[in-house]
Amino acid sequence: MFLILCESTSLFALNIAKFLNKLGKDTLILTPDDLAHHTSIHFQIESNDHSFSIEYKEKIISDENIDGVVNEINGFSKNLWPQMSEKDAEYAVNETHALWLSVLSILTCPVINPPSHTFLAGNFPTQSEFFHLCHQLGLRVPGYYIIESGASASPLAEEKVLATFTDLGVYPYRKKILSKENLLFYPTYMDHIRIEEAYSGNFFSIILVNSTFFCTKLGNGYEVCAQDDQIIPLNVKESLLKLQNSLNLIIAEYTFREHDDKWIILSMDVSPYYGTIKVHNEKILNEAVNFLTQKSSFSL
Amino acid sequence: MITLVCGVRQETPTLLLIKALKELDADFHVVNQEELSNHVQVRWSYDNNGCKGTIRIKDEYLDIQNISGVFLRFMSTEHMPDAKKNEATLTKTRSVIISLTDLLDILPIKVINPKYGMMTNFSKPNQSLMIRKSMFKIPDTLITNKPALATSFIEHFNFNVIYKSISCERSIVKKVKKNDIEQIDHIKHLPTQFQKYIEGNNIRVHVVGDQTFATEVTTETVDYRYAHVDGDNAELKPIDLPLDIKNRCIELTKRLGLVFSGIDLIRNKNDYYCLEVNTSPGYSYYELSTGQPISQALATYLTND
Repeated sequence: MFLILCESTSLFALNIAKFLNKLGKDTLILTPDDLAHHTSIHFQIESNDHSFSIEYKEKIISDENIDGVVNEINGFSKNLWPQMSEKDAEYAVNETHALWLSVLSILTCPVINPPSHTFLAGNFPTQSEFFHLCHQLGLRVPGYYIIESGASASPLAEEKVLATFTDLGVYPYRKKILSKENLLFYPTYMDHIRIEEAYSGNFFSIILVNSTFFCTKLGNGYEVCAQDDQIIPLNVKESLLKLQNSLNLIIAEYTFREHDDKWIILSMDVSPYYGTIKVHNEKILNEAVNFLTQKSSFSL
Repeated sequence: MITLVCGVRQETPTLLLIKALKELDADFHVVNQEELSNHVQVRWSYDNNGCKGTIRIKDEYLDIQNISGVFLRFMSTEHMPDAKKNEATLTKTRSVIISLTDLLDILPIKVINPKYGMMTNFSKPNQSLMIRKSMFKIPDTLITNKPALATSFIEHFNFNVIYKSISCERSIVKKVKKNDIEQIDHIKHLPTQFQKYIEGNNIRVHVVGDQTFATEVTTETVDYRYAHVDGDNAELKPIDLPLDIKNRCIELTKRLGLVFSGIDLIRNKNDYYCLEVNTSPGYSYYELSTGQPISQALATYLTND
């Protein structure tokens, strides 16, 4: 049995389920709402042993008969518990998250993507950690500044330097990107600001599934055009393999700008953009399924 | 070289460390969370040549290259009394904290405690799985939302069972009482963690690097942190642990990616059960009750080359 944990709208996870079904494999798709309200759970831990089983609509699945997991649920929303007070719903969110973190951590079957210290669906380093790791592994990264206020950042915006400006006070995980106009017209902005160099040049996405590369050229309007993976410089491939390994990820999408013949890494996402998956005509889904069913290939 | 103490200055663990650093005549600066929005500014840059910048605390500018160690005990900004009064203060404080912690995550310096180590107590069962690897016994644990399974577990251990939160949300650990079974259906709404109650003496072990400080706590209350609530007393006295238990505590702290930990053990005859590892322990309660020099060990660790 393959467990697919995702939102009901997740094209990537649901298409993997379809693929597995075509191969005659059983799948069970569970949404956050199913996990929170429609699944019975039994998880026992002792000094030398542990066991786990879930029951959903009369199906019982134990850790021994889970062959693989695709998990795109990174957390639970307070909205799943509308009958509770705000405080109790927050408690329910944390409890459910902590439970599924431990469940996903004990599985010995292939998991896309394995959970990390606190995140259920993979590793989410901060932008600074990510660039530092990339730099240590030999990838070129954009330079960035952290500066004490919008007032200090505003002259740079005025000079029209190619950069993005991010307010670091708004929310830690989804920092607010500021327009240059914001900085120019509101120079009294007092939060600390992150200013990151931006580049012109060809824009590429690389999806790395286990150890197979899928390259896509992206247009300004996110038009997609599949590329032969030989277009990726060998040193970039080698560094990306090390990066993905050190982040303990099976699948992730990385974006790059090709600027002055150098590939500069810009971002990483553990949930690839479906447009870039689709343009490779099921090859990415096939590779993910190969990993789940332990039929992996290796190419560099 | 400079040590930074980041947290709420008036909080006792922070105050004790400041006192210990003064006694060592160390060069240190306090980054007081309550003054971040008015008195702290961070400016740094990162590129393919490395990282450089300054931190301004009041009128003093610190070169980030001169920072060698950091004690990090910021509290959630939402819990700061001043921040609640003013949204601008809240966002500015957050932006300073993000600017600082982003920097501290990548500087090659001593940090108490490193971020990923701190995260290991987010899920108690997940931490238990790591604790097992350090050869400690853990109490038999059941997490379920099935009332029949919970009842069977509770009856199997003859009601010697406690329940507590699964996440790092603070909860008062309580023993299951006979009449709790009448409300056991409540767990259908949210899985609950039940654990066999281990008889024995509570021991808190603070680990700082390779040093251990063990305190035995004698009380009648299940959760000694709340002994006063039950009208009970908790008596704390320093004890010496067997060498292999000390070594396991040090090994466990390193396994979790920590430098400083507060390990909760229960000694049952000759067995040592590990209940939990606190990744930001409020060590002052133990230091002030027993005189164990925990803050001195922290200060020495942070300032030694």
